[in-house]
Amino acid sequence: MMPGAIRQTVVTFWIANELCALDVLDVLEVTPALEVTPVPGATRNVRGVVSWRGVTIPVVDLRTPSTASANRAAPVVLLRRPERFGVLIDRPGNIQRIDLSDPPPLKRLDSRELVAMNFGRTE
Amino acid sequence: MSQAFDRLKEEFLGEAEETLATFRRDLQELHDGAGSSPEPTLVDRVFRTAHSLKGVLGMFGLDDMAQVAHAMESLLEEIRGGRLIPEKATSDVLLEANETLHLLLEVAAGRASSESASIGAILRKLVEETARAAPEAPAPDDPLVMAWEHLSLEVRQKLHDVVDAGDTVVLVECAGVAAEDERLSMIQHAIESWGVVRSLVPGPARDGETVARLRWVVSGSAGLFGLMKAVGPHQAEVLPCETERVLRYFSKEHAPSQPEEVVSEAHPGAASFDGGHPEPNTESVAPEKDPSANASSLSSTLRVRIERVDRLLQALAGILHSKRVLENAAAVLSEVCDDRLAITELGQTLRTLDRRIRAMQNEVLEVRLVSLGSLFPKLERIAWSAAREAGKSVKLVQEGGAVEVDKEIVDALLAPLAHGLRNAIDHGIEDEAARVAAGKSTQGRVLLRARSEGAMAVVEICDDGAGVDLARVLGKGRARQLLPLDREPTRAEILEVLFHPGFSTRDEISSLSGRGVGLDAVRDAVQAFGGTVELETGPSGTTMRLRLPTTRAILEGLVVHVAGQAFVVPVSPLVQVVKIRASEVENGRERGHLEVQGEELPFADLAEALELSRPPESVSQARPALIFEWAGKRGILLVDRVGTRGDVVTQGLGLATSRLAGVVGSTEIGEGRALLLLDPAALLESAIKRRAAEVTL
Repeated sequence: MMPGAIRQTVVTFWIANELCALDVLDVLEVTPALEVTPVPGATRNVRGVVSWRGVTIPVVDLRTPSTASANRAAPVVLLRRPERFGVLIDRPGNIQRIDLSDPPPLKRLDSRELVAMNFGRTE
Repeated sequence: MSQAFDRLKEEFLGEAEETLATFRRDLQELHDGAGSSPEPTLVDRVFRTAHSLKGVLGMFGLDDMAQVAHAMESLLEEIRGGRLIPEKATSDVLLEANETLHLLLEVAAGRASSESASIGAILRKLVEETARAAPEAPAPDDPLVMAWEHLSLEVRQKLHDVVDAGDTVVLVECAGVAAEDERLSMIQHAIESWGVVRSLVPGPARDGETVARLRWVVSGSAGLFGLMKAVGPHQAEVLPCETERVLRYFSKEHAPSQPEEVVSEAHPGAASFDGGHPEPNTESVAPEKDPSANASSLSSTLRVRIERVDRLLQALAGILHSKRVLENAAAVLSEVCDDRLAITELGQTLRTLDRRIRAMQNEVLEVRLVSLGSLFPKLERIAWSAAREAGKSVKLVQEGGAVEVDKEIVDALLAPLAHGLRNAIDHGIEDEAARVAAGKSTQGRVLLRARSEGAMAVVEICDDGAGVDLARVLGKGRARQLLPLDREPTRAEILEVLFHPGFSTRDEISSLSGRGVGLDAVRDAVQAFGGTVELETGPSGTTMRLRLPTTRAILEGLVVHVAGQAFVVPVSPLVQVVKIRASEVENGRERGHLEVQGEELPFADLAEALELSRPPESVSQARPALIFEWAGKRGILLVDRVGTRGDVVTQGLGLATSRLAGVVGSTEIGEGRALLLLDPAALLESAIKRRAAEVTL
């Protein structure tokens, strides 16, 4: 390993044929398929809510429309911070360590960015 | 500074708010009894509060606050000593000082900026009030008092000066001496060996004595013992006196000088009393405590952050979920397992578990309950500054502070109640002249009253003013086309105009109200947590009545299905469920109303209200129609199918917040799937509004 390499443990998953990663410390759980309850009138990227161990959690959907409309249930990456919410994914990947100083082999998402990106209301 | 100290300080800041609130109430009591000698125990209590506040504030380095508390203590000391009868002005200054302490506390707790509070003005006022105190009269037989009338003005002034310089003033008395007596000059010598003779005055003759006594008024800096030793051999006596008190008593013409710590430059308007109202911070997470709880009950209470209780509720919801999974597994097991006894036992255990979980849930929900009285101190402050600003004398009477409501609702209530109070004081209570003309007492009265009504709490703000000028509202309402011109509107319709956004009967705008931002905002805030607002008015005053659910976390819900999706509606506003034929619905669409049991009611198709698309053939012969009642109105929600009914634990939607007014929360009914909670009143209101907009187009 190169001196000064910054390594980070991430959880990977696939969304719309892209390999994505989130810091393992931000992730609460990667669930099997959960049924999504759509919320009428919600912001575009907020798909709805899921019930996880009796707790209602809002979920966002970054998948392409074709996969998104296929079924109402999907695996969810649950984030513990900056706020408790879920991201609908196509399929889970694994847990791996990546070197941040290398050119990223995968699309690294920052949970904060995720929130900022998708929750700025357009209406 | 050490962490322990910081923690102590934080704890102190948390409690100081309550201390100041209690202090305020006592000062208010003082204020109400102004003009006469106050109750000694009350004065003692406020004095002690000021005294201990001063000490603790100083300890935590909150010097500005300590200075104010010190000045309050000095003023209260005069009141306690009976030297000052508190007038309205006195207690006004004390209340204002309390308000300043509140502001400084907000600053110290980092909830307000330091520019908002300046202590110069209030310190000056406190000192001025203190100076009004009559000095305590010295004993009439004090030797110096008896000598006073014989002293020349110069001598009196001299005595002031030497006492200020730190000298002692005493009298020396000698009986049975004549002017030419040798003893006289010997005593004079003896005295002069110790200090300075200021004057020679006659003393009172005692019974049976024929010769007058002589007294020397003496000042000196050495110990009195030296003087006694010097004059003793000449049968002369030293008479001590309460010099300082006597001098203060006889020197009203000497105005007390201002203490040095008083900042002399004025900050016009800086004390923020004249500007906006100090908005209490609703973000404050310091859990409320019953304000009536006294020190002795402190040990049995525990301060818990509300987030902890919420986490507990979430954990409970998780346990409920696991229990449902177990129940499902048990159901599957009972079909394949032959051991009936074991299956029965499993079923019984699950039911016991269910009961226990629910009992626990209720306990936790009760932890979230806070007394409405916890809002009262903040409201008192708001009422006080509103009355001050309006230049009216208003007494705020409180009742029912013990009524308990969910913490979240209590927090959300502050703004609407503050609004109501300001309205009552600014609009409701007349000015003094009008009150006198109407034969009322000059002081207005506003009653803040809470009571329980089943699962609801009712909070009322009643003023004893002249009532709403309905003719004026009618005129303004018609001018703005809010009321029909062709017929006489009902009283209820006229009052409803007051809730119209932007409506105000005021021509001029005060900082209190009159901007037309008011009752509509109150109604919005109260409806947001499922409450209602009513107005009642008459010549003897106006009442604003808020009706609120006591908890928002648990409610009885009914599952309804529409466009293939399930939702939950609360059962409490549901009046009846009827079936309506598709043809009737089609007719109704044109009129905008449906006729049910001879009554024409506005209606909304739930699918349309939620903007859900539905295949056209799904409209069957007859559909369930849910009749809801809210705020005295009725309306119908059409659904496709009605499902089960049961208690649900409601949760917020978090990031999934909907732009549709009627989607208010979520819950889970046993299927491991989230269901959305709807507010029928909001859905129907927006449907009615939409319909009205279509008609006018």
